[in-house]
Order: sequence, then C-alpha cells, then structure tokens
Amino acid sequence: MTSHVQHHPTTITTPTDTTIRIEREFDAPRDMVWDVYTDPALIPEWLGPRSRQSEVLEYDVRPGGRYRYISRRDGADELVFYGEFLEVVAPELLVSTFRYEGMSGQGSVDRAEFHEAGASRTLLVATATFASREDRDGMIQAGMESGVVTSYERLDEILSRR
Amino acid sequence: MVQYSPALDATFSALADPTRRAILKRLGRGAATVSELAAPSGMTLTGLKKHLHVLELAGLVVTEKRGRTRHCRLGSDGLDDAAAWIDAYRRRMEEQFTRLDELLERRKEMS
Repeated sequence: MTSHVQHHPTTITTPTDTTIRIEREFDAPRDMVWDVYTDPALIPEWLGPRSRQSEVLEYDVRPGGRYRYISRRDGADELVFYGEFLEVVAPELLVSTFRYEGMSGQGSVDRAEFHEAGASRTLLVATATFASREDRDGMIQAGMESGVVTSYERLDEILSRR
Repeated sequence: MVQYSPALDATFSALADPTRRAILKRLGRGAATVSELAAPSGMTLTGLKKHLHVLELAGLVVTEKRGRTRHCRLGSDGLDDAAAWIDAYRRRMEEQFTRLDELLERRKEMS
C-alpha cells in the first residue's frame, strides 16, 4: 500500500429527486484514469470496498456491450451486478445501465465524465439517474444495508436511539 | 441477505411522495396548524391528516394538539437518518476511490 498518495475528498450531492452525483479528483492524467477505470482485469482491485471480492464475468466496453460481475464477502453474501454500455467515448465519457440481481425498481443509468483538471489531474463526475425517487433512495438504502458499507458506526448510533 | 430497517423504510417512503415533500417544505418555513396546511394545498382535511400521519410515523413531523387545533412542526430524526445514508454512501465511495488512487499510483511508478 502506498501511504504517500494524496486522497481527494469525495463530494456527493442529489441535484434532483432522481439523481445522485459524485465528484472526485485523481492525481493522474485522464488517459491513465480511463485505462485503469475501464480495464476488466483491474476492476477486482478497486471496485467496491476492501471487505468484498469481485469477479468479472463479462466486460465488453463498447456501445451495446455488456458487463456482469459478482461481488462476494469471504465467498458468501453474493451480489451480481450487470448492465449495458450505452456510450463509450475514450477517455472522456462512459454511460452504462446498472442493475443487480434481485433488486426492486429499474436500476439506474450511470454517466461517468472524465475531465482534465490540470496536466496530471482528472476530475471524475459520476451521475446515476433513476426512474423515480423511490428507486434512487431504495438503491442507496439496499446498497448500504447489504453489507457493502464498512462504516456502520453512525448507523449504529442512530438505530440505538430508536 | 438484504435487511431493511423499518425506521429507514418509513423515512424514505414518506419522502417519496410529492405532497408530503410539499408539507415538509411548508413546515420548513415555520410551524403551522392542520387547517393552515390544508388551505393552500386545496386538500381535504382527511387527506392531509393521512399524509401527516405517515410523516409523523417517520419522525419527520411532530404534531401536538392544543385545545381544538393541532399544531405541526418539523421533526429531526428522519432527516438525520437520510443524511446518515448519504454519508455512509460517500464513505463507501471514498474507500473505492482510495483503492483507485493506489492503483493509479502504482501505474505511474511503473511508467
């Protein structure tokens, strides 16, 4: 692990009732961020929390191509995520659908924009758009409660008050 | 596998309705009686009371009867929960992006 890496803050906003927007900078040129972000061989190394392991079954990064990956915690608690790539414009734009098996609601359309923010810095603007506010809130809630999150301290606090 | 918290379900489903969000918006400007809430919305008192009940169960609104009128104001528990979920989501994303940072750093060292 490299401890000298500077980690930029992650900004989460809900610009509309049906969207969630994430902004995050990376200290690397845009081409490199794109290459790493869209490389199926590297996905298990970064996608999701450290407590879970991913296995990529399909990742055909071109318009109309599909992806599918399984996320497990210690070989159990399996989640299958899948979708289709709608727009692929290297190194600046990746639009895809996102669903997981067994979810209620229609999933989201995820748009990842990679902006040059200096010679060796990239700004990622990722927006997930849902069919309804219920879908969006349900997705966040289900994602959090399925063991994907590792920081439960605040939740424990809140629930202990009830 | 997926376990839902009844309290959070109540918060999110209460927030999912535009009429109830309008009530919260109105109460955000200050407390109001049930009739004051009903007047501009054109809603019947019965309809409004149903929405208030949902909001009350979710902890988003607190109502109190004084004499013959019921006074309503914003509660705080429910919204705290929603904010906590966004925060939990942010932390999850941060962990993922930290891993991406490390991967990019290794890539830069290689090149």
